[in-house]
Amino acid sequence: MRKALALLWLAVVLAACVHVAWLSRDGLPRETDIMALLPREEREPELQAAKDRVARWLSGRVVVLVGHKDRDKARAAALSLRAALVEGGLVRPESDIPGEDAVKRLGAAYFAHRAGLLAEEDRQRLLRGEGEALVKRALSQIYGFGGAVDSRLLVRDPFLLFPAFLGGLPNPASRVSMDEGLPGLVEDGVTWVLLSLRTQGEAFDLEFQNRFVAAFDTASSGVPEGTNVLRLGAVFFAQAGAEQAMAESARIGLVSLAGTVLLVVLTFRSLRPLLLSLAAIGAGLAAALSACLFLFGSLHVAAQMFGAALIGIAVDYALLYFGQIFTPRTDPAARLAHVLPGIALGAATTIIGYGALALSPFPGLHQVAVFSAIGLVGSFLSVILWFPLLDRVPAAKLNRSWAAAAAGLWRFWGEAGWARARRIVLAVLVLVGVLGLARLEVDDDMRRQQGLDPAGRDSAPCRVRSGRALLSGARGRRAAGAGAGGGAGRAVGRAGQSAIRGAVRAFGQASGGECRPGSAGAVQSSSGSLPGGPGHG
Amino acid sequence: MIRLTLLLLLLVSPAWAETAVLKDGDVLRGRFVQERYMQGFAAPLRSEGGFLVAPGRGLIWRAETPFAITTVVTPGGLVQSVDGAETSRLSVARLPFLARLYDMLAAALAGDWRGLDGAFAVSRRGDVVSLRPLRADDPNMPAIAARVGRFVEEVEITKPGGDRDRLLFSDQVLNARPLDAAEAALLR
Repeated sequence: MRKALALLWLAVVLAACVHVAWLSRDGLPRETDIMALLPREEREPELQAAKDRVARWLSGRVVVLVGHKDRDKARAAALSLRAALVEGGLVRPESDIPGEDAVKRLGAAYFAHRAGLLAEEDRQRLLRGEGEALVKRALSQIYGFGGAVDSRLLVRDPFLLFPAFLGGLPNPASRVSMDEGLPGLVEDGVTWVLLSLRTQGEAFDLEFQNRFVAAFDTASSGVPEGTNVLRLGAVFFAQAGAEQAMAESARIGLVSLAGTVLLVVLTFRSLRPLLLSLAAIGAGLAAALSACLFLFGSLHVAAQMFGAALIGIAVDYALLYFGQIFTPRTDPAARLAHVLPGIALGAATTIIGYGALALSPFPGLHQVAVFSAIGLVGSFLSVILWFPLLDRVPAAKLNRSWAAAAAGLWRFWGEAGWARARRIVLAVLVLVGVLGLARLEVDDDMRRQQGLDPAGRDSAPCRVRSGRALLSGARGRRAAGAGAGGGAGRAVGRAGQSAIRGAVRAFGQASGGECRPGSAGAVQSSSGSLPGGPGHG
Repeated sequence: MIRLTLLLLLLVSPAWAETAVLKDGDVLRGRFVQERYMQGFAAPLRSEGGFLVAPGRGLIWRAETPFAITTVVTPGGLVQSVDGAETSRLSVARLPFLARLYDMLAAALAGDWRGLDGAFAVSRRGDVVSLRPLRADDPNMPAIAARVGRFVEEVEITKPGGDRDRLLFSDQVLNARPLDAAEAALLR
């Protein structure tokens, strides 16, 4: 019976491995959108649809400023950069910058409803009984210089209230003006050409973001000397965040695995406990991964981070089992029987703890809950089903000094003579805990989750090129102002930041995002508002 | 707005022989009569007054009858006032394309026609000059004809809807006197 269950579990693990391998033939399907961790509006699907749409629209946006002292060079560099991205199929060929006829379209859309539209200033004047001023204004426009008034308009709007209404509409891009079809601004003698791009793929698609950032870096490193390229967009943050998260989870996984191996080898001085422990961890991870991919379609990088941290817990059951080789018990069944109540209780409480995350309204945590719970169950099952069949480890003697240390610890917690010392230690621990609790601050800012590299966060997600001297390192890790990349570069950086600040502010306002003064603020707001615009706005 | 630009360009246009070319520091003054023929109106809306063009500074267009309407165009934008009270203001900050138009005008005033070459087609028959924007895809684009001597003497702007503006210029003098304090204040 036990053998049959072990074989069945082996079959399940092998099936999980095949399942994961099959789905990962083009790389593991991973989710990097931090918004996916947030609760969804289950009860109001149309609200969620609207949020998704806004988030997708914002995250697909990339704003680039190309600056050069020579206007023509700035325009040429901007156009070639855009052409490179369009040709690579990375951005849509059409621009989302309103053309010159956009004002006309806007006017046409509003014109039909002119009877209900009044500029705020005109409304106030009428409320104050100053209608005469509006008459005078109309006369000045009819009789005045270069009047845009014609009889067709005059018949429909004799007091010319509609043009006043249009003129009073918010105009966010006040610093950006159209220059022969390209929006831009001039600051400190540098012409900045603004490219507003829409990505062809999803900003949170790992494959797309890597392709996009690589192509962007290549294209922007090919600009002529003296050209500065500043960039902004969720795709850059998402790519940096995903790269960081994956590198960190790989590092955490590697370090905890190495620590586990070292601990097992040093303690048991035998290959079999090591191999079996690794098998238990591997079986748990394979089952967890397979379950996550089956249930959610992809693995969120946050769950992956948890998964890496799970190694240290999953190995517990194996360690507790093999701790029995230091006892007189040599029969594997007896060894298991002795530890089973302990590890079963331990597994149950840990699984309940992780499983409780599934009750939270956060979809990201559901994935973490499933990954952790299945992973732990997998390791636990591997230990109780496989170990008794594969355990050939003879009884061993524990290293004398270690045994002494363990016995000392046991005495400290068990013997009555240490009661006073135990109370003191407990009191100190409680005191430290209370002090820690007092210092606890809740920070639910989603932006903290996005894992920006520090240089990018402080000084803009922008790369600044000044001639051949690339101020920013790879992927813009060191950018303009904070980059300390030489005097000229710094000056250009300041101007650039100031320029991008203006553009960002304009776009922030246009897209409803918040913007704070200062480059870091502008960038933070963008980083926050781009992927999370509606979420925390 | 395009009409406004064309008009400004005509006022300072040095594209033909014996026509005065304005340079920085020059001040051109003159009188105008503007007749606006609008459909549905039995008679043209007629206004009369004086104007002043100062390259690099701007333009003052001051109607005296039937209303005292002053229009000032500067690099900062366009301001219109009636009886000294401001009635409308189009600032370059709000309408950035005004800056581009003004730059074009300023360049033309200084004799730099490169900015215009790509935007306008100029043709001449006798003393009548036609100026038309190259972008003919705008259904609101007017047809413009001007009679030019040493200065522009008459301009007729015909709009597609059938409305028509006629401007007559007279008493034009170049550098008769510098800008006075009030004029300088308007152009600041």
